[in-house]
Amino acid sequence: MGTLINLTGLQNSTTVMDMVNYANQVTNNLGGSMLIFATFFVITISLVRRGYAFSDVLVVSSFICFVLSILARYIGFVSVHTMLLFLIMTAISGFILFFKKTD
Amino acid sequence: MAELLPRHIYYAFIVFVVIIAGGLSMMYNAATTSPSIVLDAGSENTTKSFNNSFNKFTELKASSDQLSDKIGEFSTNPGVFGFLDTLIGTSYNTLKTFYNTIVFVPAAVDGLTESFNIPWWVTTGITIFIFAIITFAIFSVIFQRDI
Repeated sequence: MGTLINLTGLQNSTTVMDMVNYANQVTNNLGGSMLIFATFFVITISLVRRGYAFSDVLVVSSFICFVLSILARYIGFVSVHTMLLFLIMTAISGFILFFKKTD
Repeated sequence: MAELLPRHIYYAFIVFVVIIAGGLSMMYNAATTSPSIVLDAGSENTTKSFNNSFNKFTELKASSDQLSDKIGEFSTNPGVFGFLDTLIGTSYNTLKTFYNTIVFVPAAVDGLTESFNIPWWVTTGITIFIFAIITFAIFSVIFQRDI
């Protein structure tokens, strides 16, 4: 049995932003986080396919997504936890990078 | 993958702490325009508790300063090993001269904060890194192997 969702908000939306906001609202802030996560995976996979090392790519993509999540948080699109998650991911991938990079 | 040495763990830890401090600093800079960025609507202030749990930056800076003081105090005297002691002592003194030459770098880096508005965590991170590199270089000379 699926749950009933009020779709009147969606019918009232006139712009893409309204629609995205509505999606974010009905998914309890998950929509925005998932968009950032999708960006993260796109950046990671495209950079890995270009031949960069996975540990290098992780630092770059998680940092880009951290900055994006700050901007998204500014418009109330993601929760604080998403921002902190990407910050921790950047820090841990930086830690791993320095473990791996030995001169 | 090359050999993993203790100094790489130390460097990695510095990088980890600097990224956390830098990220939180960025978040709080953004929060000056809209305080709701760092506030969590439902529960307690998440970022505040997170910041407390990772508040190691000051400790790291203090221990780095302590290391640099120890380098300054240390002195070698020719001991029972004679030639070997002198050899190590010479290397150590050479490095110590090197250290004295570049010890002004952190002060210069700190000056960057005022001149170019570079964030405090960048300059502190660079300073800690410089001291860590010098310290491990001196350890390597004393123990005659990579540490």
